[in-house]
Amino acid sequence: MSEFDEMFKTSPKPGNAAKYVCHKALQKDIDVLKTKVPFPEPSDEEKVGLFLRKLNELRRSRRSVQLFLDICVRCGACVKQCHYYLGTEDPKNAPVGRAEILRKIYRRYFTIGGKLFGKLAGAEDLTPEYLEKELYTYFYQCTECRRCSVFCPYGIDTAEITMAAREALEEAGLATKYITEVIAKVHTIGNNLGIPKPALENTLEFVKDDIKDMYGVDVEIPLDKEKADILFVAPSADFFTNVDTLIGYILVLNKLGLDWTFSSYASEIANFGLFFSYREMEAIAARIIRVARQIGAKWVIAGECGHAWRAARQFWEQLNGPLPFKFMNVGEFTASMIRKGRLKFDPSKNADVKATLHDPCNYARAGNLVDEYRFILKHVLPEGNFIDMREDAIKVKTFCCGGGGGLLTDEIMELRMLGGKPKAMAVKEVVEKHGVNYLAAPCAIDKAQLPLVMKHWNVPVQVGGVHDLVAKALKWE
Amino acid sequence: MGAITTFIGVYLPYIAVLVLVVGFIWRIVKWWNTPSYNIAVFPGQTSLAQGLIRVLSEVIFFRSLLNFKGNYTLWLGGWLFHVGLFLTISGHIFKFFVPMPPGFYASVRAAIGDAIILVGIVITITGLYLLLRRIVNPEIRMISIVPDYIVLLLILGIVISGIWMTEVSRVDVAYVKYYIQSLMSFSPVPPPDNAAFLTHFFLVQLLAMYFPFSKLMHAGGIFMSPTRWHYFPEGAHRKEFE
Ligand code: SF4
Ligand code: SF4
Repeated sequence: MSEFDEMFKTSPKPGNAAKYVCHKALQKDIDVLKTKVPFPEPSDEEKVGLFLRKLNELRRSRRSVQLFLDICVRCGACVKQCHYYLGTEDPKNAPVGRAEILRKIYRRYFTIGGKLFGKLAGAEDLTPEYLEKELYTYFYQCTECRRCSVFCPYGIDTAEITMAAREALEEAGLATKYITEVIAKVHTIGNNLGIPKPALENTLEFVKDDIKDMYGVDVEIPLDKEKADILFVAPSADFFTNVDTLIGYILVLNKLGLDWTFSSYASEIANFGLFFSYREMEAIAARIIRVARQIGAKWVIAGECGHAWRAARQFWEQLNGPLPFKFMNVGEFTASMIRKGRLKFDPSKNADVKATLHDPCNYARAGNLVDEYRFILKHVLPEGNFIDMREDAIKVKTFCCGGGGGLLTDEIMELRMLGGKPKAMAVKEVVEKHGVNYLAAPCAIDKAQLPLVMKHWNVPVQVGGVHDLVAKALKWE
Repeated sequence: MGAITTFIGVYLPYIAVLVLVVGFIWRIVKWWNTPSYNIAVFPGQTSLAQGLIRVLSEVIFFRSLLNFKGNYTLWLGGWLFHVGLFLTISGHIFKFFVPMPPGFYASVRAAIGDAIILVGIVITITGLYLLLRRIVNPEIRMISIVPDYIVLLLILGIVISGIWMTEVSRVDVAYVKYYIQSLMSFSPVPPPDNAAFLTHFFLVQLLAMYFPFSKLMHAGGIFMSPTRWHYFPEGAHRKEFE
């Protein structure tokens, strides 16, 4: 039996993950958030009431929340589908176990059975302690990857429950340091990493020189052009840590000779509002939409980033209203240009690379974006140098990297490594069987999380983007 | 007729039907009236028809349970259990409410013989499997709550008393039909004086009244799941750059 199959032999260990608790939000970040959206700071006694009021509001305004709270039959089909359950074996990390934490409260305060029979009906009183020990702890152990939904007979998407729980927690003044810090940076500076415009300009100068050195070509890297057909919005991490991916975008855009620009105001495609609240998601998306309008963009192209793509693909239009532009993911963009014959490659430049693809959860399950990146990889790699992992770990069944959902924070590193195990085991198989040495991960969170995971589980692969390989193989003549 | 028999046989049926129908509709309408975001989980539907096909494949084949090899036994047990219930309930509806030429049921019975009982036995066995699984499998035990057991016990009670009443205590089926129709025409005659029948009938009414307030509403909710039902129309999102 392979190590991958071995993982599914679980035995529940209650409380095993109780120790992984994200740090609470800092006052300075809350102060920033308060300028954009209401962020209450209630006393302990008020918290319970505020949480319940928000929960009530959410269940009445989102069918998913109401329906998913109501119809779960606790069949258990989802239990072994969550990477965090496989990693920690804490039943409260099984999707249904997690959702039950909120369901118990829902039953107690909003259903007849729960009001009359309490615990017997599976209901539980809400106390300030329950808020912290159960709700806050375990709903910040879900990466909102939605893998559970694929296996549930009713399509119950625990991520919807998680999002509702987090929004209600926020109402009760409970949020994590990491997420609020990131959102505060977006509001004050423009991106998750807090890179101000001068630093951005500098970086782009360096990148320009790098490209000259590496590929011998002179490229344009426009920033804040007044008018442009294309607004390109990358995850800000690409400007700093995933520069090779960034180079890939820049080379492709230059090769095509299109009229495009980066923006320093909208210098972040990531949208942590998805992990926090709909109104925050809307506020963050509004920055990009505003710039796109200003410069008269016909297209917005999103860089390699999974959750950002979910926020865009599924929510921009629903939350921010009709858009004056079309938008696509850079994977779709490049694939489309290859199909049209406008990009040519020399795969032999990547002869030393044997790659497999990690499908970011949000590409696969929220974006229908699984074929394009494979298509690109097959064009930029020599024949036979792209190898897929086992079917249980790719496409809609892809396992999460373990760091999404706003959990990419150091205090829960151990949990992140445990959550990354299923993906690591799947990668390990292709590494051992086929000599794969490159894990292509077209997502900024993956690029931060997966190298650590692979090292932790002793899987010798390099992690990088897809456009890194595009850059290497792109032909200039 | 004793007071309890009168209550179970004459008054409670009306209450039970009312609670079931009003409750069921109320729940569905409430879901329907709650706004829904498009949160489709891919592989995505691109039209309403495809959404419908996806929902139906869940309803009829429990398709999602086949996504993971570890769920195959649950799929088989759960599917047979539900098919059994479906056949049984349809059989009851036919027998009591759909007028058929005289002799029809006798000939059906002659044609399929004891197969009818087989359906009851399948429900009993798969129902026991679902119950045992909750008790024996530590993972399922931990996520189970009391109502999960109650529902299964109720259904098992109904099926077993049903089999008992027809096969062991041989209730007068013709009279049962006459009695049910008398209830329908609001001029109830006394219920059959048979303990197994009264138990069966009483448990059915309990289940009916519990239905709208319980997880059994998955029977309606499965048709409305936002992740399966929603679709992104072809062409709404461009995959070609031009
Ligand atoms: S698979 Fe769906 S219905 Fe079954 S326990 Fe999980 S969430 Fe509930
Ligand atoms: S959304 Fe992902 S992390 Fe959350 S419960 Fe489901 S499988 Fe687990």
